[in-house]
Amino acid sequence: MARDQAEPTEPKKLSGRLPSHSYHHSCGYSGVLDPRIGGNVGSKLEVDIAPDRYELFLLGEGEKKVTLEVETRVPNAALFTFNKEDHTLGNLLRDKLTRSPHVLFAAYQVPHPLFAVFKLRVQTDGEMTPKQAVVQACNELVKELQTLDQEFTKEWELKKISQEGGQDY
Amino acid sequence: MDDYDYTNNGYPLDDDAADSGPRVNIRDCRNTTIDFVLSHTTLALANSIRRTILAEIPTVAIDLVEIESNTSVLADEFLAHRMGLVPLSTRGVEEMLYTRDCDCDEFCDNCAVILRLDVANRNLDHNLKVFARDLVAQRVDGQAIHDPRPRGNSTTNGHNHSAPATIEDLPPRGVPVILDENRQGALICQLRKGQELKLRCIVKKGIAKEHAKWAPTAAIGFEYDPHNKLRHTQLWHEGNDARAEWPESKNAGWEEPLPLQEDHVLGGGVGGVPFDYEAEPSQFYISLEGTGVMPPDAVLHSGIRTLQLKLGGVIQQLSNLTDSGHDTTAATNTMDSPPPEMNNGDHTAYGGGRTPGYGGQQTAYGGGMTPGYGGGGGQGTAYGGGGQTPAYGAGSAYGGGGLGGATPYGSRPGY
Ligand SMILES: [Zn+2]
Repeated sequence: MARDQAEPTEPKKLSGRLPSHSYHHSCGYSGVLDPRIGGNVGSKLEVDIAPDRYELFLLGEGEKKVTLEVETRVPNAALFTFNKEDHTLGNLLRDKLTRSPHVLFAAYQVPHPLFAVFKLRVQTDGEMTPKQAVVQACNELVKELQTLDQEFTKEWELKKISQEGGQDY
Repeated sequence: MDDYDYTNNGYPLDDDAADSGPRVNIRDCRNTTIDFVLSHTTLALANSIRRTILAEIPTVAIDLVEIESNTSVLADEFLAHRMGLVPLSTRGVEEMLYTRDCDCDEFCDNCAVILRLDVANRNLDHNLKVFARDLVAQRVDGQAIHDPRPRGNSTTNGHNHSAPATIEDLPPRGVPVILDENRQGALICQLRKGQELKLRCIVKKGIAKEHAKWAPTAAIGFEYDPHNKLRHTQLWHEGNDARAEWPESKNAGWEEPLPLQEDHVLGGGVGGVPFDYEAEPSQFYISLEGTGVMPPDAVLHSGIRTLQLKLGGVIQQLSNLTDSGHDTTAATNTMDSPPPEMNNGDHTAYGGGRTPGYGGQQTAYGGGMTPGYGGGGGQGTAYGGGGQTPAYGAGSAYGGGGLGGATPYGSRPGY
């Protein structure tokens, strides 16, 4: 009885399965040491095999979703590092932050395409801290999405009624 | 031409409308598709919704295939891959756990569904075709799964393609979705006389970021600014008649008409009209083509919710940090830490923020990221709500086997 994975995807539970050969061939070391990404990437580097896909969205053990470092050379500025996130969140936050009257600067980058990390730099006018600005941006986006959800539900119900009305039974 | 609004390249500058939030105009909806215009919102938000729907909506798909007997012409791996791509109903996927978050040893009814296939061509001279409909759904203990739908009143009857499907039209979770008129589903393989195929598939919850088989959509059309007034693109053309090479999009009719001299190929700012560098798109034409694993409106709702949970997770994590970046939860070592405070002062009962046995670190997918944001309590979050997170075990990629130990954050003093 052969046992195949439909696709080698899920994080492995060991019970009942053969350990994947890939673990033995991986050559991992800390991202801090990797000059290509300038450090501060909480992810190991797989050299000889493709990393497991779930590493794109599952935080590693002890890894935080987001950390922040205060920028010392400029007042009211901080550099946020988002782990296991990509342009979906990066560009959304950047866009929202640049619309705030208290934000002087907001930009993000993905330091290396092989690492699911982006960095967000925020500078404010001092009325609020960069952290507060990001939290506010998130709150506003959640509200905006809630409005969109309700708006869509409303339109969907209307559309359904109009479609049913047009049919002959 | 006189009343054309040049200040924003023709887009209305209506602050009141923009403040009231996004608007939706559904142009068309069918069994598995929806076509709508999203307006009064930003490009960033529209694109993030698109990306979330493409890659991060939880669905179910066959993840493991145990092959008992395969004498068909297709190799085991080949078949296993095909099985993975069979569309399965996502009905009730919110209550399902990811196997990695589940308490069970391997898989159980909370995190898996079994599909069995047992077909053989004993004495037919022509090929026997094996379809998705031949998959038999079971619980983990082998009990059959009952389909509660009334016969003939489901999408499987194949005759009701004009009206959008609802969640009640779907078969139970993990059961193949069959949309064709012959009620056969996808063709899996063909068996010659004497060949047989016997296998057991384990269906699991996942997202398309891990593998495209978990995608709820086949395609998402996304267009804005069909007249190219904003010049976000350059439309290359070979001959002199650019308009002939670039016919207008059907969405162009939903925009304000162009002034006579303006050319949708060259973009805004031609014909003596100054180009507005500050103009932004605010209207997006989205056509979503589902695979049938969930109704088209559910795809959108799930995408929005997934994005909200993502943002909620950031709010939660940032509320644990001071303005200088120190983690306020790192010093304490109690298992029952008080719930983190939101910026607006609301206390939210974040479920199981900590997992015993993790040395005071927050779990990657702590239970219930944002109960404040409508709907599901602890479970059914984008990253599973189980709170309990049995690690990937020693020897896993994350395990302590010498690999994962030195993350920059874990070892930094004072953090
Ligand atoms: Zn389970």
